[in-house]
Amino acid sequence: MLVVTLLVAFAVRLSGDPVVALFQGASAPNKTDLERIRKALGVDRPFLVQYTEFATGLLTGNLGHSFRNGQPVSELIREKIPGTLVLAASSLFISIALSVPLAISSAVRKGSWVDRLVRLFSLIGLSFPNFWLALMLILIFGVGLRWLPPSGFEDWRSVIMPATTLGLILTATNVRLLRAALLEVLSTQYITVARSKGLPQRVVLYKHALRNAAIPAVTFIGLQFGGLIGGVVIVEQVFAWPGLGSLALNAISQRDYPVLQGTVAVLALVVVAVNLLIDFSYGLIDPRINVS
Amino acid sequence: MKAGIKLFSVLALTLGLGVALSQSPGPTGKLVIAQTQDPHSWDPIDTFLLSWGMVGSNIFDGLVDRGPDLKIKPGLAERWVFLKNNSVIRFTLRKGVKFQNGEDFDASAVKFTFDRLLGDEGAKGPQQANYTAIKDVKVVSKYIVEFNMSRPDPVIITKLAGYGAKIIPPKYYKEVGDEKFNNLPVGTGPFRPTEYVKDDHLTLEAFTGYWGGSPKVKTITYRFIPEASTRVAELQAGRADIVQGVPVSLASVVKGIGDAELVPVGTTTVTELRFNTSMKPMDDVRVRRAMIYAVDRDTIIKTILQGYGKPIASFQGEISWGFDPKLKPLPYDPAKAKALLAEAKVPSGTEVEIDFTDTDVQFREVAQGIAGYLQAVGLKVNLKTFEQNTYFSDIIPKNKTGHMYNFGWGGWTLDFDNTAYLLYHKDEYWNPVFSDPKVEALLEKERGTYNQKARQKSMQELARYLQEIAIEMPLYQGVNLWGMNKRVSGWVVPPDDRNRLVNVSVK
Amino acid sequence: MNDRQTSRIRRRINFDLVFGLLLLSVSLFSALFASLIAPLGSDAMNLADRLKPPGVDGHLFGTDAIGRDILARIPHGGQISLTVGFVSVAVSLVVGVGIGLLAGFYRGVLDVVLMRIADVQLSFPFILLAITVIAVIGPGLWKLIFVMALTQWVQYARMVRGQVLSLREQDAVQATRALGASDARIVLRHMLPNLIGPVIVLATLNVANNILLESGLTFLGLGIDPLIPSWGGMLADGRNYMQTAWWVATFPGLAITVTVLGFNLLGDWLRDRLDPLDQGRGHES
Repeated sequence: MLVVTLLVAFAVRLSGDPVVALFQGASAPNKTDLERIRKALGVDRPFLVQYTEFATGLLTGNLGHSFRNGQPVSELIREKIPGTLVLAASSLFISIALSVPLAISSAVRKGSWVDRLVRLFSLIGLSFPNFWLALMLILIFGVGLRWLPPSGFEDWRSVIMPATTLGLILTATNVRLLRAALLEVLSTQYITVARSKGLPQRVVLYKHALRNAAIPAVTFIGLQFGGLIGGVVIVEQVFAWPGLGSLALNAISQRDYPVLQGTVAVLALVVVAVNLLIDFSYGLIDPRINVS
Repeated sequence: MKAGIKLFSVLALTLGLGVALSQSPGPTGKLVIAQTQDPHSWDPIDTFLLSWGMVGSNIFDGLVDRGPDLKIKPGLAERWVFLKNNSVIRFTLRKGVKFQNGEDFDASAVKFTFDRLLGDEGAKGPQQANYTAIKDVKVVSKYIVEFNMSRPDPVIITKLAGYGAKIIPPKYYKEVGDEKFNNLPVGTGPFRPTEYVKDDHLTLEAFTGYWGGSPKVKTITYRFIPEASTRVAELQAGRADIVQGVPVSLASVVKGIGDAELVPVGTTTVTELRFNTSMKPMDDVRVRRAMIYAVDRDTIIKTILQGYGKPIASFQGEISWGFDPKLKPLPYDPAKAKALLAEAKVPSGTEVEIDFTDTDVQFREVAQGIAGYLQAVGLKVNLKTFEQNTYFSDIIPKNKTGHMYNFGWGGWTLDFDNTAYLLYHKDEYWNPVFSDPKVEALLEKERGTYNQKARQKSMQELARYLQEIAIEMPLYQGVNLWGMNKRVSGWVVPPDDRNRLVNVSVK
Repeated sequence: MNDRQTSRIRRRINFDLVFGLLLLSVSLFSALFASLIAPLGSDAMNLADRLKPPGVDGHLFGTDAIGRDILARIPHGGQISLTVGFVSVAVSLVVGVGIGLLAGFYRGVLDVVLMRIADVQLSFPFILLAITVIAVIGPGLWKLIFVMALTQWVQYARMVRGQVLSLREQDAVQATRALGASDARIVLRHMLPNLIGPVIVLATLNVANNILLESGLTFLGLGIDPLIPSWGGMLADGRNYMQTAWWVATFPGLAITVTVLGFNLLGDWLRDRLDPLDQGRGHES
């Protein structure tokens, strides 16, 4: 985490200027004003001094204050976490709700037209850039049908479109992973035995096969979580969604170093935490793992 | 989610009140405004962003004010006089004005405001820069204050209508502290902020005790939506009443909405391509003139901008002091352009670069149009986009631009002096390379006189000379496009950032 | 079991392969022969002819907001988009596989450093990195490719390292080593062929992915020179015309979809073919 923030802190200081950013909209900053604010913000000091201050603050939970409005960075992040978590959780939910039945129907009838259609459909999420998918959804469901609010975070209906945009992208990979894993599991002796015991197809599929097949898919989600958050940046932009992605994006363009460093540290922490959770979830998905 | 529930209860409350109060003339209804940006702090001294002014003009008042006609008029001060050879300005304050929290407005609030602006708190923000000519503020009596000037500033009254000089309530500020004040400030304006969720929305409630008369709308919600297509989608879905920043490419979509209309308004903002005279072949005046002759600016305005823009001859709009109606833009003449390039021995296929910022969707199309015309006279054009912050803090001031670069100017003082000095005077922030003795002389001459006629004459002469040496390619004076739902009435579209809503009502 | 037999026969004529190749060849050939399809080049513009619908004045796909022929821009745009896709993948593949082989084979410090770098990259959102890097080095086709390679080589390195770790313990490799084969020989002759399958699959998926990424970056304003046509750039620039001039974005969008689908189907087919487990299963059924 420290390495990530160090890299970011260093890279973002290579160009641009937080003080000039504050003068955005004004005619022209003059040198004395630039110097005065630089000093007030502490960005006139050497990089290592600034970074050490941030790093020690990080360890004590003090992330510093935003250049833009003087608010503590930790508070800014706390305000955005609900939006990001709701979006991440609901897009995961949508992707699971779509990919499990699709993967099963395709794996059970491998090579059939159902299988092909499912796989083609699942590729939709991978065939359009996410901003494009998002704008299409807005035009169809927000403007054309007026079923859903085009943007913002007001209630549960606001979540549907952004979560679907992200969810479809996840679905594409999940369907394929789950399908492959299911095929593998279905051909094992374990399932053959279960079948020969006369267990109904449904029980075999859901109780035995799916559990085993879920593990690679879940691992993959963990690996892709950083990428998912990356996709969130664009989706938040299109849907005017208040989340960590837009916070980081604004912090980059404003060169609001404390906010950017803090957000990146928290994002890195979230990714690590999610991967830890996934490790724990193996036990829940497949009780045998606890034994071994 | 919590925000959602709150929003709904506010809505329910508004509707309920609307029914209950329909007989009495109190403020009713809810207005939703979609704007591009959230300035992240509502404190007047923290920012220059237009997105602050659009909201802040409804929360705060200054001692003086600038209306939609761009003329200075009294605000919280009823009148003012310059004393002691212009070194003191005495303001007589309006009586009976209250802040939205019930606090009285008087001389102590003015003093507190300027002490904070010019003190340590102000030093952390950019607005202080505009007011450094003020030495201090003295309370003479409850409703009289005097500003002592440390040096003369001819545009100080205009500046007092600016953001940093908005008057804030001393008691409330001390009570809640700076951080809370940034989020939910209090002013003397017609609306009071009641709820703020960053990057999402800010809600204002009508302040019926406003000195200028009660507002007509009960609630205003500002929503911050960066993507233009999404803002327009909100208008189409009937969920936004006023939409700021409609790009020309979406103008016909807005026109096509049955219950909404497209509202264009001319602005003072001008756009141009500046030439980097330190680069070959741009150091040759013939080449610079050739570039201007080569580009059909009228057609670009008619097609890409769909007529929402006016051709300009110098880098100022019609309303600017120093504008010369007799000065015409250089015509479109590709044959002459080719001849000049040949004369300057610029071979066909010479590469030139045009720089602009990455998020400017509109100029992206204009730049491609310009490139097309330059290619037609035999040049090879590369377009290069830069991240906005890098562009304005590294690329332009440190002279790292290509041959030509996009530049826009708000010209908020409405005086060519301000523009010309910062752009053509040598060693200014925005002018890393260009210097010309005649330009320097004209600028000095203009600054050295208080005779307005003489100033205007030298500024017109300067503009003519700049055209002659073809220091830049003036492109157009901008038109801002807004979208408005037809249920809104009484709205005067602002040519600047001050989008006042006190007289607006919704059906 | 009749169903299974027919599906096996169908597998031979493989749907993925045929359909994938079909889609891909359309986009590849149009890009390769761009100068035949649009001999006048792609930058002829005429502002008077902007936003003409398909079929008007001989513009089969219509014109864009600058008055350029979209049909001419699509094959030329394909050259750029496919270059972005292929080169970024090729660079990250070569670098990633090389480092993965070394790290997995020799372990030690290199391995430790590699794994830490991989952790850092996995926990950092790509878009934020891209924005930061491009803000610093500026935009451009090759810089864009550089950013993609910079962030993606880790995927290959991790994948290869994992496989090398298990391969080097295998009997065949141990035996070769005992016979005195050089390290280079072991790696190149015995390991590389065994691990190249999954790498190729990942590569096909990333080619498609990077074509989309280029579009996303243009959306954020970080794309390449707008005078150089690329499908992603055309799509992003067309977004404001979705309701008034659908053709501006639809045709480049279709080109992307066709190509991405093609690559993904081909990737699926390769995965099926190269996965040893899958082949075993084919035998069993």
